[in-house]
Parts: sequence; structure tokens; C-alpha cells
Amino acid sequence: MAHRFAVPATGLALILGLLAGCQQDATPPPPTTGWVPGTLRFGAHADFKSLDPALANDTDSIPFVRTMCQSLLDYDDGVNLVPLLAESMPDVSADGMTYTFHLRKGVRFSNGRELTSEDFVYSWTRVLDPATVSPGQSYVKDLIAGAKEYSDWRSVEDKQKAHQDLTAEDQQVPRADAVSGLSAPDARRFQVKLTHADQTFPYVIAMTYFAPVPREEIEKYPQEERKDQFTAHPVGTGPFVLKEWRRSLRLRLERDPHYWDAEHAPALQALEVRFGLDDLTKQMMFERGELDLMNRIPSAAYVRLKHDPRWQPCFEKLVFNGAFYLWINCEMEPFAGEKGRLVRRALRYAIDKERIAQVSNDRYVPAKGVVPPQMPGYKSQVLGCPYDPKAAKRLLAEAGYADGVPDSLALWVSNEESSGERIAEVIQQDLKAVGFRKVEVNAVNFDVYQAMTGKHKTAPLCYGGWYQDYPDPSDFLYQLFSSNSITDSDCNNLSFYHSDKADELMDQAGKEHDPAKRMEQYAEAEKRIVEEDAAVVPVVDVQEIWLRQTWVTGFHIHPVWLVKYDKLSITPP
Amino acid sequence: MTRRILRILNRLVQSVVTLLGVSMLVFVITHAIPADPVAAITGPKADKATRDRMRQELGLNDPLWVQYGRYLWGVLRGDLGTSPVTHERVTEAILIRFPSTLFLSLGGVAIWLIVGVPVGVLTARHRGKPIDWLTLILAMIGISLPTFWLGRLLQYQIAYRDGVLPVAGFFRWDSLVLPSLTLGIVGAGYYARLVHSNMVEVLNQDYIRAARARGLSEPVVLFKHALRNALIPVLTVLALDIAGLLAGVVFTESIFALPGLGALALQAVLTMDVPMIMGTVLFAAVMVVGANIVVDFVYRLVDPRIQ
Repeated sequence: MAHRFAVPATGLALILGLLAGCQQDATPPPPTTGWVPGTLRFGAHADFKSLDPALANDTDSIPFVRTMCQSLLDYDDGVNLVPLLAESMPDVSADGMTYTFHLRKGVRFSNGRELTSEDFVYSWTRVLDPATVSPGQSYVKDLIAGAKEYSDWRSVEDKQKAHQDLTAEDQQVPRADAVSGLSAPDARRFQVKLTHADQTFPYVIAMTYFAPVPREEIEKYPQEERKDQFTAHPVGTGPFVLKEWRRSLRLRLERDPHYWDAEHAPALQALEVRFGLDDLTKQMMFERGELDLMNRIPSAAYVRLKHDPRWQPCFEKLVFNGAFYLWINCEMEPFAGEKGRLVRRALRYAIDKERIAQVSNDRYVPAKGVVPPQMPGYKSQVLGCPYDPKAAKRLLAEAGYADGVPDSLALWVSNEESSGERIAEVIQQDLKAVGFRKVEVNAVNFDVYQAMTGKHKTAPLCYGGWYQDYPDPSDFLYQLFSSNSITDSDCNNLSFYHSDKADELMDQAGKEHDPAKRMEQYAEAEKRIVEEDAAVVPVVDVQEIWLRQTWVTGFHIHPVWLVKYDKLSITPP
Repeated sequence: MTRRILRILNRLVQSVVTLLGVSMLVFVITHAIPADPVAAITGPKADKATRDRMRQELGLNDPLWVQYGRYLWGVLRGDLGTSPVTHERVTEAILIRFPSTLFLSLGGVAIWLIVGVPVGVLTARHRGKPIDWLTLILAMIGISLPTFWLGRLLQYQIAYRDGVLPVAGFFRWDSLVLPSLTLGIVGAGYYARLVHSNMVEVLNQDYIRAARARGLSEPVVLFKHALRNALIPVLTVLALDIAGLLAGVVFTESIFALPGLGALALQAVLTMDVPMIMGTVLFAAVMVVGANIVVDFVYRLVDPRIQ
């Protein structure tokens, strides 16, 4: 008789056992075993798209690419630039338009060859070549002398090769086989001529896009395969080299035994990234000691771990240079024109940022201005705006909406942003409370979000973020609110905000030599954008929260790179 | 003989038409979505010139039918294209990830058959008795369990809490135990019921009564005479299910971070990687169409009466 019930009894036992396992236990302490000597393990959700420094542009991959490919300049533990491949900060001409870099002696690529200034000419020209499709191109195309001419000519040349019809405009493009502003007077001097003085240039070139790569390691592949091959087989001057990249599974970088800067060689032997791990899986692996670092901690686990004193020393927090905004489309009713300006100002008072920060479990802090607080030398003039629904209603009444705003308004948000949808819903409630009767949250994937919000007169409201490329206010103000950023599609200026005065201030600041005056001009532009014209409501600034295992030492969140992996070590407790 | 050749040719033509239809449908759908693959590839901060260049490189400025024709010509030459997102060749990407999906599928199918078939036979033999009812309830629970929930539950309890098996990844062979169990528990209940209902039907046939009357032992009657016939309809479902698994087990692979075809397809959709979406869907379609052809032939092998 007993055997008859064997199968159902086993099944029931399994289910009951699993259900019993669901009961909450106290948080286990940080693991004391599980480390791999000399190897740091990190988890990422999506595989990296590319390891080619000219192409890698996602937040997770850049700190790893940086360990393989270095730039002329780097950041210290904060946001101050320091020389890296250059032996000193560059010599700048009196007009601020010529930069001369002196390269360090004895720097070698991981293939053993010594770095020369010609490698910079080659690598930067490669970034500017439209065929590379490097995101770095857009930062310097209008800045380096001859860059635009070269880029335009290469486009025409490619069309000719593909036997495509040339437009009248194409036929006017002069021949430019090289970038005239890049030169290598000798093996250790690299000179760059700019089209105009721009104080952001040193910050721009500290980005990984501008790391030198050896020509021979790219040109050994057939022309049509170069981009795809170098993406998976990068070579640079950094302390780590690529050992293995099993797509969707694992990336392993190992310390280069012949690294040129032995004095500053990393303590770690290897860096390992495991892919395909969502936040919940990462948290489980981390708590089991299978990962050494973790970010994007799931909310439930965060609350549990935060309140456990044994875990508290393992937390690291930093308000990062990233922010989320409620963008208000200044071209669309009811936000357009003078009356619309009053409606936009009403929005500033309508949103309870403190509550949003509270529901986000410390991931965000209330924002005051467009520019996040970590910018070097920058002091915002924007004082922030208190949550005041009465003031919002009063402004709406002034705008002729005493009985509320009857228009149906779509609030677009990407459902791939952490907490984005939830925050959009809080904003929706806040707006309804002051009289915006019909606000609908449209949560869509990021591509659709980008396509819909980047078009004229399509998205009246949207909630989305912006992270720094380099720590300078222009990266936020100019990129997001200059009228030059308004395009017919894929627009960055999601408010479609156009102000001659703000443009003028930002243009002046871009050319200004005096850093203090420059920052003042940006601050004035920001005040106009946020307070006077209310083109945007800065909602929250991003706070990075990371957990490390007790055996990881040397870890702190870097305000630009997030993590300097080459500075970490594993010290068993 | 000629009729047989014609029948095979007819089947092949049907398969080609099906694959063409699938490729055309997916191509149109991926281009109808209001998301710009170029924006997805170049990122939010790329300028217009970079995006225009990428658009030109991907041939997106051409009419849709030209793009489709170009894709089809590539497929006919065995070239599924290159992903503009990851810079991987689509064919290679699929082949690299196939083993992970294959091993996971084999693990799941093994559990379906090892648990499902004996339980189905047993419950058919003891039809209407308490063990039949209890097994029915358990099987229904198994069938109703969503994979993403069951996977998470097993991962949480067995890997995270008990630490018996790895939480995720594909670094050791025991990494496949929990994902296979996830697939297996859900499918075993279904196959137990499928085998059960077919067995009940077969056990009522005259030749089974005749076998028993001839004094054959019960295991021989059940497993040699009844099960063999009861499995014929099961084969159809099994072949299509295996094809479905080999095409990618999206939820299971995603939960357990297995680098398989399901995870590849999901990532491709999330990043609007059109060549990769097309490649993975086409591969899935080939699997299903192939499975149908195999089933046709296996039918004829198992039961020569079927024409």
C-alpha cells in the first residue's frame, strides 16, 4: 500500500519543503569564505557590446575597458585630471587652441610595442572616421581642426566606393585624407589644434574613446572585419589584457605581466565579469560569496541588509553625476507660449521630490538643479523648489486653468529604468492632485521611449535621466538645453527648449578661459532654464549604492569611473 | 515510389514556404515597431551624423522590400548577417549558444520521460483509484506552475538558502540541475497525463485483453504491448516540445543566467538587434519545421500502417 503513495507523497513533500523555505529568516552575516585569490568577480545583466575603446559606451563596460586601454589623462580619486600616458598636463597655447602633450617614456602596448605619438594620430583619426561609428566622434568633430572636413570627406569617399549617387552638397566637399589638427612632431610629442578654445577639451579626451590602439593590431584583419574583430580582441596600454570573452557568459581579464608601469601594477591577478545576472540573482550570488561586488541592490534586500550592522561596513554610497528630470515639452499645449510658462512653473511646485526619494530606498536624493552636485568648481544658483501644491494651483489659475487642466497628457517613461515607472506614477498622482486631470503614464521599453520623446510635438511630458560623460556642467546644460541640441528625431533636448539668452550664456561659457567666470555663466544659464523658463523639473539625483565583500579592499565609488578596478585587492579576512 | 518522392518534395516545399512566411512576418514586425534600431545601437548620446552613418551602414534607408531581399539573399548563401550591436556573426552566435540550450533541454526532457512515462502508465493501470486522483492533482499543480516562479523558488531555496547547488551561470555541470528540474517538473506532469490518457485508451483495446488472456505478465502487457502503442501520439507532442526547447528556453535561461538561445533572443529583442532577432526566430522555425518532418518519418517507422 505504501508504495502507491510514494510519488504523490514525494511531490507533496517537495512542495511543502519549498513553501516552508519561503519563511523569512534573519539576514545571514557577510560570508567569510568563497573568495578566489587574486580574482575579483562582478556580475552584469547584459553582455558588453564591445571592448573596443572607440566603441564601448555602456556604464558597466567602460570601467573594464579602462583597465585595458588608457588615455592621455585620467582622474585622481576625485574629479581632478591627472596625467596618465602624458608625463605632465598639456602645454596650452595662449589662445587656448593648441594643446601639446608630452608622452611618458617607456609606455608599451600589451603586444610589446612602444607607444608613440603617431599612435594617437592614428587612433583619434580612427574615432573621427565615420566608418568606425564611434560615439566619441560627436565630442570632437567640431572641436579639432580639420576633423569635420576629414569626416565629411570620408563619408563621400565611402559613397563613391559603394557607387552611390552623390548629392550636390557631397560634390562640394573638399578632399581631406587626414585630420589637419592632429600631428606628431616627434615620437613623444602629440599636438592637437582646435577650431576654438574650449575648456572641456581635457575632460573630453580623458574618455576611453580617445585611448590609443596599435594600428598593426587592427590592420592585421581584413578591412571589412576590422571593427568586429577588434571589438572582441582589444589591445591597449592598460594593466590588464583580455584573456577570455565567452559571449553571454563570462569575461576574464588578466594582469599584463609586462605592464609598463610596474610601480603601479594592480594587486589583482584577474577581473571576471559574469553575464546574464539580473539584480535578484546577483544579490543571491553575492550573499553566497559567489560575487565580490554588487550594485543595483534589489529594494527588499537593500532594506534588510541596510539594517543589519554586520553588513553596514560593506556599504559604499555616493551621489553620482547623474540625474532624473521631468521634461516638459515647450512646443506642446498646455506648456507652449507665455501661458504655458506659468503652467510649467506650476509643475515645479507640484512634485513631492522628498516622497519620491523615500520610495526609492536611498537610490535617489531630491534634486535642485539640472547639474548634479558633484561637478568640480560648480555652484548652482538654483535654490530648489519646495513642494507646494497651493502655489501650483495658484499658478495654474493665473494661466487660466482655475478648474484644472483638461488636456489629456501622456507621461512617457522607460520601463527599463530602475524605479522609473513607479516614480512616474508618483508624479502622475502629484499632478492630478493639483489639477492635471488626465495624465497617463506610458511605460515603454527604452528604444520606444527614445524614439517617441525625441520627436517634435510627440511627448508632452517624459521622465528620464542623464549621466555625465565628463564632469563639466556643459555636459548637462549644453547637451540637454541648447537649441543646437534640437533635432528632428532622436533629440537630446527633450523639452525642445529654445532660449536665445540661455544659448548665448552657454556659448560664452564654452569659450571662457577664466574657470570661475565660466562656472558663473553656466549657473546663470541653469537658473534661466530651471527657474525662469521652467523647461524642466529636476526631480532626483542618482545615488550609487554598492556592496563589497569583507575581503575586497581599496574600494570606493569613483565619481567618474564608478569603480577603479585596478586599485582593488582581495584580502582574505 | 514516384508518389513517395512527390510526397517528400511536397513536404519540403511546404517547409520552405513556412520558413519564408516566418522570416517575412518577423522582418515586417521588427520594422513596424516604433523604435529605432540605430538609436538602440549607438546609444542615447550619439549625434545625428553617427546615427545617419549607422543607418546607411545597416541599409535602413532602402525600401523595406530591398532590405528583405538582401537579407534573404544572404540567408540563401548561409550568411545570417552580423549583429550591429555585439559585432558577432549571427550564425556563430547561435552555434556558440546552442550547446547550453541543448544540454538544458536534454536534462528537462529526461525528467519528463523518466517521471512522466512511468507515472502515466501506473495511473492508467490504477485508474480511478486514490493514487490516480492524487497523481492527477500533483500533475495539474506541476502543469500550472509558471516556469519563472518555480525557477526562482528552486533557486532561492536550494541554491541561495541551502547552498547545495550554484545560484546561476554555466561554470560547472551541476549548474544545469536546477534549470533542468524547473523544466522537468512542469513538463513531467503534462507528460504523465498525456501518457495516462493514451494508455487508458489502449488498455481497453481487444489485443490487450487477448494478451492478458494468453497469460502474459502484467509488466509485459503494460510496457511491451500497451505502452508502445500509447506512445505514438506522445511522440508528436514530444518532438514539437523538444524543437521548442532547442529554439530557446527564455525564462529558464534568463533566471539561471545560462548563455543559451533563449537568452540570446531575449537580449536581441531588448536591444533591437534585428539580424539577431531574425536569426534566432529563423533557427526556431527551422527546429519546428524539422521536428514536424522527423515526426512524419518516425510515425511511419513506428507504425507501418500509417501512410
